[in-house]
Formats: sequence, structure tokens, C-alpha cells
Amino acid sequence: MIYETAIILRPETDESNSNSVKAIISDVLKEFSGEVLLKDDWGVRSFAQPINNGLKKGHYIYFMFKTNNSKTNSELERRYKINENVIRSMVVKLGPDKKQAEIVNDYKTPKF
Amino acid sequence: MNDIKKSKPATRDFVAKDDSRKPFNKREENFDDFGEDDMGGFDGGERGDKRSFSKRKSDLYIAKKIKPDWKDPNTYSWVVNEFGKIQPARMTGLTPKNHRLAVAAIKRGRAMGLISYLSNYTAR
Repeated sequence: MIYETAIILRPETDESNSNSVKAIISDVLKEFSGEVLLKDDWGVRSFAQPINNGLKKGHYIYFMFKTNNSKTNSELERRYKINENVIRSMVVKLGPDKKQAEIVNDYKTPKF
Repeated sequence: MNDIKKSKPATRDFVAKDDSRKPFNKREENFDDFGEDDMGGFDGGERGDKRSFSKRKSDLYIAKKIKPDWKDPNTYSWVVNEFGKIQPARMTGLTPKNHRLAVAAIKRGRAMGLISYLSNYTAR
């Protein structure tokens, strides 16, 4: 099954903290036999309306990955909650493994 | 009290000979031989002053061969009115399946901060 995640970090995070968040995903997928298909960094982007007592900007990170184990998503969400820099996260199911080529080609970075 | 004879209940013929007793839809004078008229959305006279303005006749997602995606607000920002509310399918002209996909994309976009809950502002 192919999934995608999007994570929002605080806008003041350094590179080291953002790299640690990206390392979470690769670590979890190694344990649960998964594979990363796409990585993308949308940068700092302002929200449509303020969040969490006044935040107006956030750092967006995007991943697309593939697993067959049903417990990867729960483990990912558990680790997002522990990290202090992560504000919001979302996991979306995209499709089966057969359609990998179509799904990967259809992806474009959204325009600002 | 036994003298009072119970009369049979009065039968009513629902098959009215006059069209005036039938409901509006079924009156023969209102049948069109050429199918439904496109009145441009204005149904004057039926059920009082209720007006149904239908904006679009064709489904945008089928015409342009696009799927609604939560990451790109341009694909679904036109479904939402200026107060952030999702418009019904008779205004947007979407089929039921595409309407459901658009609604799912809008709700995901709202949660991730790409479109507002209370207006049609999108992130930039």
C-alpha cells in the first residue's frame, strides 16, 4: 500500500531538528520493512488562518512511502507526538502497489 | 341512538377529471413534448417564491480530467463560498462521486492549514 504524510513544523526550527524529524520516518520504515518513494520540502509557508494561539507560518515536509505492515502508521503517529517541533501531521492512503508508477508521476509540488 | 344509521363513508374519486385537482407535476397541460425545458434555473410560480439557481451544467472534473487533491487548493477553492461553506452539488454541477471526493479534499485541506474554515482564503 502506498501512503503519504505531511508534517508541519514550527517555523523557527533549525536544520538539525528538521533532519531529525526526517530521520524518524526512515528509521520506522527500516524496522517495519518499508520503502521511501518520494521526499519533498515545501519550505516555510503561511497558513490560511492562524493556528494554535497565533501561529501564522509553518515549515512543511512531505513524504511518500510504501509498506505492507499495518503497524507502521500507528508507530509513526506515536513518534510525531513525542517530538516537540511537530505541530500537525497527517497520513493519507493513496493506493495499491500496482499503481505505483502512476501515483509517483502524478505528484507535483504545489504552487505558492 | 339505534335509529341513527351509519352511512357509508363517502368515497372520493382521486382520478380527477379536472386537471386542477391533480398535483402540479402530473397535470397534462404541463407536460412538455420535447423534454424538460432549460429555463436557466428560474422556476417561477411553483411552490411560491422558491428560486433555484443552478450555476453549472457540466462537471468540471470530468471536462478537465482532474482529480481534487488536498495539496492543491486551486482544484477545490471554487466549491467553497465566501464564508467558507461547501456549496451543494446542484450549484457546483458535480456528480455525487466527485462531490464526495471534493468534500474530502476540502476537509483535509482545512485541517492542514491550506484553506480557511471561515472564508475562502487559501494559503500562499
